[in-house]
Amino acid sequence: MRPLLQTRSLKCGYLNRAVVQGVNLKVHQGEVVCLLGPNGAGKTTTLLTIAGELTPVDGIVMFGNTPTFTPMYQRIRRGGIGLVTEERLVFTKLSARDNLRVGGGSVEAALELFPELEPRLGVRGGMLSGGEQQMLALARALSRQPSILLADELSLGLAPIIVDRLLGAVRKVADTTGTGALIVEQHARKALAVSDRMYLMARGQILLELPAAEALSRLDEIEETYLTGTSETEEDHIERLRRKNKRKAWRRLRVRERELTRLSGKLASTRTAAEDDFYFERERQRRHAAMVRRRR
Amino acid sequence: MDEIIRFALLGFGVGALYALASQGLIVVYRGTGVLNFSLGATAIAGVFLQWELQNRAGWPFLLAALTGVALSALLGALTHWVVMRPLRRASTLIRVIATLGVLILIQAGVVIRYGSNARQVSSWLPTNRVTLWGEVAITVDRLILFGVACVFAVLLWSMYRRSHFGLATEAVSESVRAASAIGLSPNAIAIQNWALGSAIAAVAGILVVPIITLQVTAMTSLVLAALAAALVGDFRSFPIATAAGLALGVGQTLVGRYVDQQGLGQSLPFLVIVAVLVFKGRSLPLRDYFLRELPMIGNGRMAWDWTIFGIGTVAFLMLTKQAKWIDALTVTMGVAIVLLSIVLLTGYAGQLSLAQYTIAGFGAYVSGRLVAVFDIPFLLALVVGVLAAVPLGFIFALPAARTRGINLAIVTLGLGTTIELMLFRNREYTGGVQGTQVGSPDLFGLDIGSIRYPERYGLFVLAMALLAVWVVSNVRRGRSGRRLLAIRTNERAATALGIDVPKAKLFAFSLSSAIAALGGIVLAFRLTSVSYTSFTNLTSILFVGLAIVGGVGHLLGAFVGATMATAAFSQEVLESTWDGVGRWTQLISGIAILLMVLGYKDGVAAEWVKIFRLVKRARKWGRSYFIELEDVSDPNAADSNSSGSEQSKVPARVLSIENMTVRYGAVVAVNDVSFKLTPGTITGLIGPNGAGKTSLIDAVCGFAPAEGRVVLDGEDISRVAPSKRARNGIARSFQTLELFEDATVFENISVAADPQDMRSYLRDLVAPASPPFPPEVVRAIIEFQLDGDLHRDVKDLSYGKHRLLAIARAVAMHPSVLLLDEPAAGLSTAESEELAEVVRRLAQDWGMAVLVVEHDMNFVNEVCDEVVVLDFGNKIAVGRPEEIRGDPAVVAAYLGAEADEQRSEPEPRTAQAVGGGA
Repeated sequence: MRPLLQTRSLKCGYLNRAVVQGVNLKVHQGEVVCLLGPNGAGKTTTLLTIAGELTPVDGIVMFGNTPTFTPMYQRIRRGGIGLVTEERLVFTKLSARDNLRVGGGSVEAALELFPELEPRLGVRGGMLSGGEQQMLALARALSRQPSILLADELSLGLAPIIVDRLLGAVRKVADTTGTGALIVEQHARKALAVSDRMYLMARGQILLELPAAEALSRLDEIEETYLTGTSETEEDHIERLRRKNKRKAWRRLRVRERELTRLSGKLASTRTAAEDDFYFERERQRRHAAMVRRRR
Repeated sequence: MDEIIRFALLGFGVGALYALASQGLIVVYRGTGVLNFSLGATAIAGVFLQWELQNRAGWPFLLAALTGVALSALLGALTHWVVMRPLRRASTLIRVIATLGVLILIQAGVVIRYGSNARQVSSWLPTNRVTLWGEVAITVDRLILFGVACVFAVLLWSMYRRSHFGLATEAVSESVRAASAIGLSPNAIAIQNWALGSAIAAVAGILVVPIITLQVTAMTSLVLAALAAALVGDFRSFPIATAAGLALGVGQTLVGRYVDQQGLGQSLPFLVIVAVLVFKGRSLPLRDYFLRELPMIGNGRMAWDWTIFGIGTVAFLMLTKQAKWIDALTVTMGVAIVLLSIVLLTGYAGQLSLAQYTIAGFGAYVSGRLVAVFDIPFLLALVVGVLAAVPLGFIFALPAARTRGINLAIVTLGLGTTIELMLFRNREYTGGVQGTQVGSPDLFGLDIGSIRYPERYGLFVLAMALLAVWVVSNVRRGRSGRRLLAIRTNERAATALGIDVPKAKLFAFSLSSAIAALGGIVLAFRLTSVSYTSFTNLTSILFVGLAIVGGVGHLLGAFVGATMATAAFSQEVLESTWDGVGRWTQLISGIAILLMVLGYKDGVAAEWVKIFRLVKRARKWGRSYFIELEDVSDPNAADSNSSGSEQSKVPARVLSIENMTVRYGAVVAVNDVSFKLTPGTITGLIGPNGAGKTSLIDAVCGFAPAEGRVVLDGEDISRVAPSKRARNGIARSFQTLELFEDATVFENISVAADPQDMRSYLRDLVAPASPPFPPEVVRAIIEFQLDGDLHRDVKDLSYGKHRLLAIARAVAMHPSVLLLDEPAAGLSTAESEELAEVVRRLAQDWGMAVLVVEHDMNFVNEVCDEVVVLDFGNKIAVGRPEEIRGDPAVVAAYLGAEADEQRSEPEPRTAQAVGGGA
């Protein structure tokens, strides 16, 4: 079965400076995958890179086997991606109903998922409670029936019962409609309880991949080893100076990808990172030899 | 009574124009957040096309009108695509200037094609009279215009409320990021709004032109007036803006008819602007006030060799060339003085004023009238004129205390236009038909009249320009300049450092007014008869554009910009190299402004400085820019490091917070919290995100309105202004650091270490003061290991140093109470341990009362003597760190997962998971 989402040796960061390296992850249909790790491990950076808000420093993001180089709004509109981030993406001046409508999905589908929003539909987004705002954002993302959901810190600053409700909804949608989900979470236990698989990230690298059930059984050990303390990176700082023109960077990556496809005669989804290096090295040698020949 | 009603109804004509134009402004503003000065020019281009097609090509009205509207829409869309899109991250200032460039460009294009004289156009609407309510007769066209304005208002209103496009626009205007996260393309929406706004303005133009005559500049100034209506509608509400626009039109007609004061009617919209903004403004920007990029700032030093070289060149040219070159140079120097006032006000202090040339005109007015009527000597008149502009600067500074950014720009524009319309355009006040005759100025008996002795007048203006540069340079290098820089970058941070922001703004406005007046006077006295009508609001806006293009943060920028003014050096060069260029100069300057704004956001001078620095570094020229701690510290303080900590002890003060409640609207951020900070102890404040920690600090420092009491050493300070609290010894750091990014580390610390006296505002004009650092500041610098970085720009520091500098700056104020907002966020473990050490020393050795808001529990456990825990604004626990760690309520609220176990767990996935989790 081909994965809905796949990244290949993805390097993410700001200003061409990799904060996260060598990310290879996959999300299959109907699968909930969680990305865990201590503060500042680079989880959010990875997720935003996959969503297209950040340009990869290197590597490829593939949705359904197609390398994607478009800006965020296009991925979301055309590529069937739902995105929910820790800053609740609720428009404070629009009513809850308008908030749902502006996302382009159907209000009924959203209410089906979260019937408790129904009485609050006329209320302005800014006057909803934090939990309701996050529900609204999640409902909006899911109401468009995305093929894959990317959720960043759904639970941040929310009461446990709401967190259960949100994560439960993600699970349910994955089970019923086959939507894949990649969720970034601080709450390891809660996240693992609803997921099928987990990736553990620390210091900008994926260190571990485990089935959720196994991870849950070894959680104490994992927590002790990886999840304690923070390892904040410089990302906040660099964020401000972040590359202004994403398209330019994407163009560079797109050209590289085209070149590789030409050299190897294979599509990105069928190559491995080692092959990439091999083909590049071979090309480099060929050019070098050609140059030497010309000099003579 | 009938007459009143009839005149009121007549006002619907221009009122409808205001209403429609304000709708166009609002559409563009809602879509992109840009104040579109070019709207009038965009619209008039469409109107002219319609006129040409109908009258010269014989097209039917409707088709011609549609084509005209389409042209305007296209121009609007192009403006966004070509100019505004690349500038989406630039400062508001730059974007306004860019629309100005578009305005000049389109206007010039229209003039080239159609000429600039006014044309009477016969009405396209039926003009037969109808009689309403028995008595009042009115032409039908006014009623139709009224109807069109209302219909548009309703259509727009419902479109922005109901349609997906409207919702999407709303979403984009609230948060571009959130909008693109749900799949909306900010660009596509912006472009549609630009096209729509321009089209509405074109419709307005086509309908109203028969009433106001077809002329290139007519629409532009009417759109400026329509700002008033848009402003009343808060740049959001179409019905309110429409009503306001119609009311303005009616009011204007009535005032024009019944009040015998020339210009009052026309300036009514601008008076409304001033009134609205002064009443609506906020006194401190809110927490989420988002600062975009600011233009780069020079260091204000004048290198003597280059200054002398410059003076020599200009003087040489003036003494050897023909009169037209001397005149061009004189104009350049005069304009440069006015631009220097913009460098000071907009560059250094960050206050955008669109009335500097009007102020210059006011100075010229005062001295011109003095010379013409009372026949007093030129030099005395000049001094009086300059001084007379100072109180005017005060008036301009008043709204600046409450509004900022683009709103301030609109207020100044309103005030300036009012002066222009009521004073400069009024023949009664400006010497009747023959104007103000000032004759030939003389200097202690020496005739320096520009007609007979152009070189003498030129040298005099050069001397005045030097004086202005010297003063501005002094201010930049002095204490007052550092204060201006602080308020420019960040008013909250400036307030937290004890700077009285309104006073600093008052200083900036009055000094810059005086300088502008000087420029205005020397420009006006070039001719024997002064015409004040040239001091227009559009020239004011253009001058800001020139300053930006030249480099608004650099002294040199004023001179570079000035060469591009009308009749100045560049134009002279162009005209003498290319015959018949006169027709194209406007077009060329419009394109030049756009290209420079797009290419060099910091201005030409900034670019030169960058290149020059590179060359200098490559060639190892000049003295180094290193600042050694020994050079800037008090020599007596040198041994204080060893002589113990007694010297740097801070006065011991107890801060107690009593029943503090902070509300933002209906949200209670802090609910009835009380605790006490005692000297020598460190109190930690922890809690989950959104628990109200930062709000609490804001309230203690006076940034957020709060109920309850803040008591410092037995004295209730809850009604004291934030800057005063800071001077009383409460220092804070910000979570977002809020450093003055364009300045050096030295300047950042100096701002905090400077005493906040009023005297330095005056002394800095002639002798900038940078007294050596007192011993406690030196100790703070050493404590935070910043002694090697004093010369560095803040933006070149590493992230860790940023954090340390933010704290060092607060400590340099030598406060009794220090409030640290997440000091260790983003520091590596080693760095945060070091910081913990320093913070502990601050409490123990210096005797400060320290409050630390922190997420890093290791840090909290390490440094804090006591911990207060907040959750949803409530204090849920207080005690020693080890007690807190065990408190079940705290664990549930903050420390997380373990406590959740007892509550409802979501359905576990597998049987194994249950076993593992339990």
